[in-house]
Amino acid sequence: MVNLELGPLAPYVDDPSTQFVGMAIAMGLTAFAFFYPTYFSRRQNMGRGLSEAIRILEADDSWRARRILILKYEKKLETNEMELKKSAEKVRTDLIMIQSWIEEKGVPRRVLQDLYSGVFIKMIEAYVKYMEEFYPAAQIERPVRKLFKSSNRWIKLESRDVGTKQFEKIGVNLYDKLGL
Amino acid sequence: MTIGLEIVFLEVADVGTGHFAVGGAVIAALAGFIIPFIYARRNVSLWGHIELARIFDGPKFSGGSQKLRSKYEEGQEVSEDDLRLAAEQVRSELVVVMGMIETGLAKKKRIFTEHSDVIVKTIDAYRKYKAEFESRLYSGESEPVFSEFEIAIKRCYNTAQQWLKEGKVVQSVKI
Repeated sequence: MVNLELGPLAPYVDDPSTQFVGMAIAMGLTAFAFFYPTYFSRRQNMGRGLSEAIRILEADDSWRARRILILKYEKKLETNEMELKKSAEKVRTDLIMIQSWIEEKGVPRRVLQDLYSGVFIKMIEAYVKYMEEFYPAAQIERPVRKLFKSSNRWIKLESRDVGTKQFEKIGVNLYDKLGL
Repeated sequence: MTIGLEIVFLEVADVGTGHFAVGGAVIAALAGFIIPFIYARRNVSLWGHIELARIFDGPKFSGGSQKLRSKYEEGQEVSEDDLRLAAEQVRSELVVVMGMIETGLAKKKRIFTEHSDVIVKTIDAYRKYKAEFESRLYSGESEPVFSEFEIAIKRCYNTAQQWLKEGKVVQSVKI
């Protein structure tokens, strides 16, 4: 007979052989109560990580490097090889840094993708063109390919921003080039 | 809380005081879940808003904004290096603000209610800076002021303008 006062917990309390299950539930709830607040400190840490990532990406050197590289391959800018090389290095460093932060859960991936997915796609497109021109035998680094994959996925499936739809076409072209 | 729940189980099983047990469980839930939830959340949003105050009143955004505006609103002489630094500071801090809104660390309403006018004026000056210097840096190529590289700043600008149009911005206090 079901004990209406206890409801679903009845078997765990009445039957000594299953009382340990009740204790397990109690311990689980206790652990949850302790660790649940850490969700917020994690979010706070992610906020710090995000600020740091944005400040690096928007710093003058990163900003200029990606613009030089992108504008060069859009044929809007003439630049010498040394400057192009420096820009490509900076772009690569930024892309690998961002991917490692995403993998280490140091930044909120969704927020970063919402702010930067289009920029990442443009950066990767220009970087791939640079590598094709100067290092045709080299393979594009794995973190860069992974970042492209997640950014492309974001733009195709999750982005609510109409402005980023223009990057879908670039994504289609790059998908095959990167061997994904 | 374990002890609390044990007591609840034992009491209900052995003594059968169901109502007392339910009361105990509610108190345990309050103590164990809701109170930490409230304080942890408050702590995070407090941190977010302290950060926000540091951004809007701190030397980076505020200083950068003043430099850009003194050049493009008041016509004062500011060196190109200073302007470049100011543009970097303004750009990065505004994107950080947009990131904080999306992370939930800062409230959109608070930001745009209090700072929309400054945001619009600053971005207007920033656009003028880009139109003046960036096109020259890229071999005279003219490029759109808001390119696809600055989605977050564009979003920030549009929202701030919308708030200004709707008259939602807090008025300064006159004594």
